[in-house]
Amino acid sequence: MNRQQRHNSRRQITNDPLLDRLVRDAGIPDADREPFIKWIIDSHWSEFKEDRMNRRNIIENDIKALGIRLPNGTMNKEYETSFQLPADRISGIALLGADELGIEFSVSDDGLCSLKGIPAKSGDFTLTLRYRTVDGEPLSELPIPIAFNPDPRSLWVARPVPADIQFPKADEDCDYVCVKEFDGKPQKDIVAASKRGRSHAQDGKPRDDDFRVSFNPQNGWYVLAVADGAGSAKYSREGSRIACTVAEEYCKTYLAERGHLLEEAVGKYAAVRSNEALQPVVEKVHEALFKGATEAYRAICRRKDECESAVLKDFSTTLLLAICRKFSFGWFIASFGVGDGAIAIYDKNADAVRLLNEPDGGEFAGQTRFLTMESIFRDRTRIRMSIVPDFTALMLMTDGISDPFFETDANLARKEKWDALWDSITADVELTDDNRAAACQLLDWLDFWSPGNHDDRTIAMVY
Amino acid sequence: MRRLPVYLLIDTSGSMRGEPIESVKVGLETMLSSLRQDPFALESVSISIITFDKEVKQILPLTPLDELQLPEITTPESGPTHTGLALKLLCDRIDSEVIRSTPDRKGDWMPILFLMTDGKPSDIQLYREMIPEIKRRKFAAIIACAAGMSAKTEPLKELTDDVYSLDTVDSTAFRSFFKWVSDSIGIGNRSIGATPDLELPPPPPEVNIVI
Repeated sequence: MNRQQRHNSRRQITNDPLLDRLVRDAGIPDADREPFIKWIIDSHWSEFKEDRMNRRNIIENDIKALGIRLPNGTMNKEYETSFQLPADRISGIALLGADELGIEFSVSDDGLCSLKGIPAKSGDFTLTLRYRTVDGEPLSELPIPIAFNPDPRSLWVARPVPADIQFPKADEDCDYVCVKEFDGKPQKDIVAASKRGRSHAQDGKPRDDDFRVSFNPQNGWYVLAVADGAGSAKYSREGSRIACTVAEEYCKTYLAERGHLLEEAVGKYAAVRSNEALQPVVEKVHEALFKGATEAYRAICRRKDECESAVLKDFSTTLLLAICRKFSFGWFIASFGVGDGAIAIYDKNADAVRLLNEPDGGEFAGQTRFLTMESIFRDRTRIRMSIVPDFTALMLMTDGISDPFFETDANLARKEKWDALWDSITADVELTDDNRAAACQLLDWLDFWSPGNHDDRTIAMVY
Repeated sequence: MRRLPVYLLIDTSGSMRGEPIESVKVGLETMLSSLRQDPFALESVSISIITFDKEVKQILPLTPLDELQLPEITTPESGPTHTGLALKLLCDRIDSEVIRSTPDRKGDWMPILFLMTDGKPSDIQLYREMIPEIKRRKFAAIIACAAGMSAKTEPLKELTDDVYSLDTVDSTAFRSFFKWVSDSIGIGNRSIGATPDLELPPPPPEVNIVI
């Protein structure tokens, strides 16, 4: 082998003069040169791979440590959230599985990841966050759970009430009392509607609310009664029925027989407006409303006695009762209320609303007082009276309506809340004179949607 | 919106380590997915979880069901069971988290308490001191569950009349217990009113009534 050939054979190993010189200077024999270089490369190659893998692991752990948690969504309801990833450390970010759920995923240049869309299904799902850490390493994946709640509206079902229950009651009821024109002027009519709540329908339980309304063309008196049977009391539907029928019947009869005395007293009071003149009014109103409520209480006690092993509490019900009549000087309205719900004189054009009851509430939601508690006849004045020139509507409603529209007792005094209620009703119900169709429209209106408020709903009004 | 607050007090003492606590997790998952199918619960139930071993922690503050994500539940190697301290924390949390009605604010429903333990209170004196405090705070229902053979029912009877027991601490038992819990919560949703006492649905075969 000449010098040139030897030189060539050295060159064949590395093609690099510097490395060749280093190998030669290190005194590595020709025969070892190739295995030696192979050994160096092999050992460093695995070290290199290990280092690359370690770098990937470190990044993966850091990404995991971010603790990315996606908030829950609700089906058919706009979902939007975002989280931040370090764009300087990872690339090629993708979120697998989002598309199928109706969620669009996007990443900005600085690593802000956004999810947006309307969830197409409900349940618990796992999305996969895929990203690249170090070139040459496999892609990294991180499972990210996401939960979409079902749309609450889709979960409600209306189950029929078992046919054989004691004291059956129709799931809904409505009434319209048409008061004919008088002296060529339209007269206020009565419309009322009551409907079983979604929460009762879900369980195949009956409606616990009730109402009763009447107008006596002989004397011009209107009588309205609305009652809400306690959801947890087993015969409350019968309690509310008795409360309404007995109280309404009593007032109607009282006013037919002795209404002229009350009219006289109201007329005198309206002329002088003195405390002295008020006294006879208070007495008569007491005789009508308070005794009407007491009679209702007694009738419930009698019904309880007829039922084996029933207690008075089983018939727990509220009662809102009102009478009104038009006089030459305006309207006289009197009311009696026990429990929650609302009675109010609403005048669209007035600055304020006139509340005719003080709702009985407790420390917790759902706590109230009932007609079946004897103490309610002593604990405070439950009678309210008012004389107004005119009004848009006299409304009585159970808490199935007052809760979603007013929420708190303080809000009951706020006129704008009543305006919102009135706008909602009149958007669906044509409250024109002598419109009998309004009863069915009002019944349909009772289906309004309000999250968390699915109690029976009952409203009665003079308009 | 008025909420139905549900407090879950879960024993995480050393003896719960391993299969028992894993089974509790499975049970809780089952409970959540079952509650999410109840439209009323979905709109009103809020859940809080307090764990107790030698330490007592509220691992989940009162959170609406639709936003709820189960937190990690860990158990120490061994140590005492501070049930009394857990009741003390519960009272604090109730006072600050549960809303009472005021004229300007609609109150929550009366809260429901579920307590699950596989042993007995190590701090029995504090436990007994806390019982009247708990009763003063008015729960719609207090349901106690003695899980497994070494769980003592006597201290639980001092807390509530509604004591139940599980013979085993496996996933079948916990799954059916928590399913029953969710059924009870569903009932609680709708029946609160005239009667302060909640009528519970009949328990499944794995859950025994302790008289």
